[in-house]
Amino acid sequence: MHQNKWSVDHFIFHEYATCNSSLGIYRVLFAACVLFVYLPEHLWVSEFPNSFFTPPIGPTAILFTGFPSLWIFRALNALEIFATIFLLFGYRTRFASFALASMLFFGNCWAFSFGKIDHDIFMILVPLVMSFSSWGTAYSIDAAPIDAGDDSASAWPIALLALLTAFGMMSAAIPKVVSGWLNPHSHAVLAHLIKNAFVEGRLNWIATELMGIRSGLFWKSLDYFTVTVEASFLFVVRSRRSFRVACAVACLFHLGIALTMDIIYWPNLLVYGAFANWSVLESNSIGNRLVRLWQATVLFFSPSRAFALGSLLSMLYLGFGNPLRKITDRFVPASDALGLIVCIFGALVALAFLANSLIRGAVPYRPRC
Amino acid sequence: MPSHGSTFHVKLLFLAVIIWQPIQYAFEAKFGEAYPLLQLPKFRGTLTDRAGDLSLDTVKIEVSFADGAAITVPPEALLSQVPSAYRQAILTRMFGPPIQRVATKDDSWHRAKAFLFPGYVASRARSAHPEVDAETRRWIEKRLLVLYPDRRASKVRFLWNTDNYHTAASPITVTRHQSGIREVTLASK
Repeated sequence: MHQNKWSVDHFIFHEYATCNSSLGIYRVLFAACVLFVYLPEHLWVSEFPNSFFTPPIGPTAILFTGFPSLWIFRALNALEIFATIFLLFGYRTRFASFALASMLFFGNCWAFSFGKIDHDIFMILVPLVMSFSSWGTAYSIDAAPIDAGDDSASAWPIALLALLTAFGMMSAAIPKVVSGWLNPHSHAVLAHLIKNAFVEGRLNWIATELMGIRSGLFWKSLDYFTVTVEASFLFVVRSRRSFRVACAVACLFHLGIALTMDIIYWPNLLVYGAFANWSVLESNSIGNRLVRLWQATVLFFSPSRAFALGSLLSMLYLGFGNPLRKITDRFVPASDALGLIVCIFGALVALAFLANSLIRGAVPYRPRC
Repeated sequence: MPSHGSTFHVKLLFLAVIIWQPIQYAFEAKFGEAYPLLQLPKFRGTLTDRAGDLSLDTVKIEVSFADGAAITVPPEALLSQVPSAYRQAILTRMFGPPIQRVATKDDSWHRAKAFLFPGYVASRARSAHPEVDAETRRWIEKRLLVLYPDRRASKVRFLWNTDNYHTAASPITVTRHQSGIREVTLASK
């Protein structure tokens, strides 16, 4: 059926159409990041007495007047580990996605009751929105062993995620625009770099070198660049191809912030990944081997084995901590070494995508994947 | 493409997301940032004055021990278990310089607020006290015992400074003036 490319229906139901294999690989990457980079989370909250309890308006302000005990957070983390492993292996994916989103939200409600809200809302929105997609139908236990059916996935959850991402990024751009970032006489990035270094205590050698740069043009360009990157998402959301370019540029932008300000904002990279075409790995020799290896792993992992792995990881994480985090924190001089690795990976993928787009710019875009 | 009925519901969902945006901005402007909202870090403002100078509040934590000695404890040590992004917010809220609070009226709106948001109102009521409460004092004692197991702290002073960074100078110069002190006397036993 021919449809107007600029129609609302086209945007919602066709523009972000992709294939299940791409979504399946994305699901594995998302779950792996949550499992190996993020968890366990918020175990420190219960170390504080209720006098520290400063909830924002929201569920904790309505329902509670203090922090719960450590056991609640231990139980919450154990459940999150199980949900993430089920998501990783694609077992009862829709339920696991819902459960993970709910529990991440529940944990955040407490952690953000110290007068500071972290803006990692996309870590919750991704599993919530993608639970309506078919991200559990490939490379998963849920996948039928012999499935020669249609590989096309429902496009609207990805379009919805794109719209949410665009509005989210705009929520960062608008306060900057109305508070003087575009004033030609101000240097907002420099000011925030200084604040971050000397008030937040996140000073590294790159920041020190940067603060030595006295060029007003350099600092003003960074102000304009920041606002442009953040605002651009909403202007290009109707075109998946342009949206991917915005995501790729944002990946480089986040790596820049991570290296200079030690603000490692990797949860946003997880949502950008939803718009990438991961099925390209299947046609690449190394990628294909990795995908086959994963497929073999999924075949090995029955639901009971996934459950056993969840129990084992829960005991390890809650008894010892995340071993990967302990190792990387020792060797990488960053506040969140694992998050920095995700940022570097995201930037490499973004560079590969941008280089490929430049080289193949004239090749017609295939909207399916 | 989904069936006609579900297509309608999906479009409705997209419409709700769009309509929600101005509502959340209006809500935030009126009541402050809530959770959850579809918001990303703002980095609001340029932080500088007309001369290009940057004013930032910093804190120095001085701990006096029962034996008369005193040391400076870095904020990242006192709050080592907390992610770095939370430290300044916690220090400002819990140990910021005492300020003159405006007494809250016991009107129907305040009572309604206390009924709807008991946690929110309780936390504001706690912060209205000029002195650090007993629970917080016990927490400080416990933390200092972890950091200095062989010593007994008697007093903690949170010295707040305003640092002015003269960004037009090369290299950047800093002048500092004290903006407030919060003193916490710990149990003597």
